[in-house]
Amino acid sequence: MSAEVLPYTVKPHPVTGLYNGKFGIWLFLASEVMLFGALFSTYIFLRIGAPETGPTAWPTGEQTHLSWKLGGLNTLILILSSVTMVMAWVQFKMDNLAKGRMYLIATAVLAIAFVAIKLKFEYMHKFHLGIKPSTSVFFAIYFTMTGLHALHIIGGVVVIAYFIGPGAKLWHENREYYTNRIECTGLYWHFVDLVWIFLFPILYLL
Amino acid sequence: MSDAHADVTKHVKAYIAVFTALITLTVVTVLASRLTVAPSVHVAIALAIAGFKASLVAMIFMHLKWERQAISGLC
Repeated sequence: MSAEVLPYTVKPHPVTGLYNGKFGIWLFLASEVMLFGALFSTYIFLRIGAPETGPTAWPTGEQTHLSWKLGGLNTLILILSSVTMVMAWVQFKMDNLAKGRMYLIATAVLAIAFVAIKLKFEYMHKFHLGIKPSTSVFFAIYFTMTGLHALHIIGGVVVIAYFIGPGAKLWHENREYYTNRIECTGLYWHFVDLVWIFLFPILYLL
Repeated sequence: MSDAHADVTKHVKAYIAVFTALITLTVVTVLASRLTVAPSVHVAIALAIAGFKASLVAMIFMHLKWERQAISGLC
């Protein structure tokens, strides 16, 4: 039994053209698209349905108290973290554990910086102003979407931290397995970056 | 092994190019939001840029460009 190896853990499956782990993460990402897609649709309908004037009108840039500078900084941080993530995979692919690990650490640090800016300078600032999700329709959707996105970042950090620490044991047992897991982690990570690419303009700029 | 190395090196060039493009397009999005045009035009510009950025991330960072078989199989 123990000698039995699951097929297509490293070789592409003839039907999907992907190794099974990668196919699995893509199916998961498809479900994520539906999750975020529902929220983006909600945003669009609420926005279209909001009256032009009056107390329930959609807030203008100044009324939202959102800083495009902080949002833009976080955009740059996430883009950079996507690059470090993919560079980690490149290093593992080239059999360099030490360098790959450095890139993973850089990714985790950038991710934590993103969450820190989000919580400390954005959410806390809003709470100080007395702004809560119940303040308005805009803030309800703002906190829901950015909150769910931030949870995804935190989830990603946990996985990346695992592969920096205890998960790295796998490298010494089977490099290909380890490298492929990093690729799958990366696919998730880039997806989270991709969601932010849409969140930034719709919440901070439009 | 050397083949894999050559492949990966080719990837790195693409990653750097996409990184530069994403940063540039973020700046463009911010600048475009200051234009004095109708709100619907603002939305169109912002979503067009975001869509393009997203496709760069999906094609290059998420390796879809190199996964033709999977895509043609799913579609």
